[in-house]
Amino acid sequence: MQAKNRRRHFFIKKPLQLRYMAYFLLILTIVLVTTLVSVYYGIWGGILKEFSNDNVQNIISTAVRIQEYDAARTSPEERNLQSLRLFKETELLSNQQRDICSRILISTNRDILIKIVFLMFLIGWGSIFLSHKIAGPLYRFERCFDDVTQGKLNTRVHLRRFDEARELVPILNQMVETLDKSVHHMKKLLRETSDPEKLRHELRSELAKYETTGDK
Amino acid sequence: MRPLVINKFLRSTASAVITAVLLTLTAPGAAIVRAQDIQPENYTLTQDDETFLRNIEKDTVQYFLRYSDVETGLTRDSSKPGSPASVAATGFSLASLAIAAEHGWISKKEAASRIERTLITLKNRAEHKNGFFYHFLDPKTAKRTWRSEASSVDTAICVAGALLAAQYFKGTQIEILAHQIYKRINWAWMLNGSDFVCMGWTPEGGFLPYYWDVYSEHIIIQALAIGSTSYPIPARLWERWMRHEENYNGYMIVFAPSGSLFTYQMAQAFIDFQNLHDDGINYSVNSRDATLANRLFCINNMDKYAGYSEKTWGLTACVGPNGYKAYGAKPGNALHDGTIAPYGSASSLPFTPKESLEVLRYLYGSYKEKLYGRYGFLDSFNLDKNWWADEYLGIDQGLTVLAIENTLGREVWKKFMELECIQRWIELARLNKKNNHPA
Repeated sequence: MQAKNRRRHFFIKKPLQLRYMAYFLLILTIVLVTTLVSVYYGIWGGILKEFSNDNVQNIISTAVRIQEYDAARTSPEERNLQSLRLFKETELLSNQQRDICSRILISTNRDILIKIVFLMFLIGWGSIFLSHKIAGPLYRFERCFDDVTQGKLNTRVHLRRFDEARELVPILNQMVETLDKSVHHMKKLLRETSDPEKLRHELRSELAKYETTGDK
Repeated sequence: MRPLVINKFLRSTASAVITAVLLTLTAPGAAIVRAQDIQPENYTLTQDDETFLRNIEKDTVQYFLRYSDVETGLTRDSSKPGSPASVAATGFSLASLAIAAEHGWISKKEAASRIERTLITLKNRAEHKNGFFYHFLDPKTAKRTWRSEASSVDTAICVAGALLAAQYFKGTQIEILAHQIYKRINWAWMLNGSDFVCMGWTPEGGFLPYYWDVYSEHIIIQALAIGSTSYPIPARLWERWMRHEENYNGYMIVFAPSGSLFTYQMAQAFIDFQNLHDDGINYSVNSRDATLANRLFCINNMDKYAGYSEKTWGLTACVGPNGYKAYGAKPGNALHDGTIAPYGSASSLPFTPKESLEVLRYLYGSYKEKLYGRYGFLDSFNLDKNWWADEYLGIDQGLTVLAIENTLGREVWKKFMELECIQRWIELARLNKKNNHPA
C-alpha cells in the first residue's frame, strides 16, 4: 500500500514547483546577503573606523595620558619604574582594544537583529501574499464543490490574474457546465415530454452517460 | 586629637627651629629668598585688572561649550582628539555654564537646557557604582571607558559643580536633579571599612589600594560626605586624616605630598575657608602661604631653570614635555622640570591676587601667540625646552573659571557655602566660624 502511494516523480507540476523554489531561494538569498553584508560591513567597517591611523594614534596617546594620571597619584619610586609604566600602558591599550572590539561586535549584532526582525516581518508578509495565490483558488474550488454537492449547478469558478491553478478553472467549469446542461436537459424532458415511454427512453439514454459506484 | 597636628605654640616653635636650621645650613652668600623677604600685599584690583580677568574667564568658559557633547552634555577631559569625557570636567562645566549665564555670555535658557541635559545624563545614563561615577566616560554613550575607576574625588567635584549650578537655578528641575544625584552617593561605602575615603573602585579589582589619608584636594569629598543626609560618613573622620606640616623658608604649610598648587585650590574653588578654622588651621591662609611658597620655590630655582622667575611660576599638575606630571614645590615631593602651568597662578588669584595677576599679565603680554588660544591659556609651557602645550585640560579650565569668579565677586563661594550640606559639614566637623579675612 505504501509502495503504491510512493511518489516516483517529484516534479508533478514543474512550473509551479520551480516558481516556488525560486521564491524560497530568493528569500534565503535576501536573508543571507543581508546578514553577510551586515556582518562584514558592521565588523570590518567598525574596525576600519576605530582603528584608523588617527584613532590608533589617539588611543595610544590617551592610554599614555591615563597611565600618567594614575602615576601622578602613586609614589615617586613607583612612578620611576619604566617597566611598570610600559606594562600599565600595554594593559590599558589591550583592555581598550578588547572593549572596542566588543563594542563593535555588540553593535553589529544589534544591527543584524534589527534587520532580521525587519526581514522576518517582510518575509511573513510575503508568505501571506504568496500563500494567498494558492489559498484563494483552493477556497474558490471548495465553494464550487460545496455548491455542486448542494445541487447548485449554476456555480462557476473565477480566479484572479496571478492566482495559481488557473489552468484547472476551465476544466472544472466545463465539468460543472456538463452536469448543469445534462440535468437541465433531463428537467426539460420531464417538463415537456407527455409520452411516458419516450420520456423513459430519453432519460435512460441521458443517464447512460454517467458511471456510478452503484453500477454493476 | 588629630594625628600629626601640632598646636599653634608647637607650630610656631617648630617653624622657628626649622628656619634657624635652614639659616645655619645655607651659607651667608647663598641667594636663598625667604618668606619674610616676600610678604603678600593687600591689593585692590583695578578696573583694567577686572576687565583683563573677565576676558580670560569668558574665553576659558568657551572650552565647556566646545568640548561638551551636544547630546549627553559630558565634557571631554582634554581638547586632544580621542579624549574621553571626565566627570570632574563635567562638574566644572555645569558650574561654568551657570556662571556664563549669569554674565550673559550665553542665554539663561540655553545654559539651563545644557545643564539639565547633562544632569539627566548623569542621573539616568552615566555608569556609576553606588552613586560614584566612573572617572572616564564615553562622551556619546556615558558608559565607562578605559576601565577607569569609580572615583571618589572626581565624583565629588562633579557633584560640587552640579550643586553649585543648582544654586544658580533654584526652584527648577536643575536643583531637583542635582540633589538627587548627590543623595544617591553612598559615601560610607567608599570607606571600605576604614577611616579614610578610598580613591576608587573598579569592577575588576575592587577598591584601589590608595586612600585619602593626608591633606589634599580631598577636602571636597569630606565636606560633601560628612554633610550628606542619605549616606554620610561619620563626622569624627574629619579629624582622622593627617595634616603634615612643614616649613619652607619661613612658610609653615599643611601640605599635600605632591606639593602641587592644585591640591590647595581644588576644594577651595567651591569652599570658602576664609572664615573657617580647623583647630587653629585656616586652609585659606594655608593655600595663600602654599602659593607664595610655590612662587618662592621657583624664584629659588631660577638658576636651574631659565623659565622660573618672579613673573613665571606655578608648579602644579599639568602636561609637560614628558607627559602629564604632578609637578609641585616644597613642601612636598617637589617634582619639577621647568614646566609652568598658567592655570596654577590663575587658580591662585583668590589667595594671591597681586602675584598671580602679575604672572598672567606677563604671560599674556610676552607669550600670547604660543600660550593663549580660543579657550584661554593653554595648559602649560617649558621655556628651558622651548616646549608649549597644544591642549587644554577640562579640570584646569574649570579651576581657572571658578577662581576668577571668586576673585572678582566671590559669587561661587557665596552660593556654595549656602548649601545645607556644607553648613551641616561645618557644624559636624566643628569648624569655627571667625571673621578672618586673610590679607
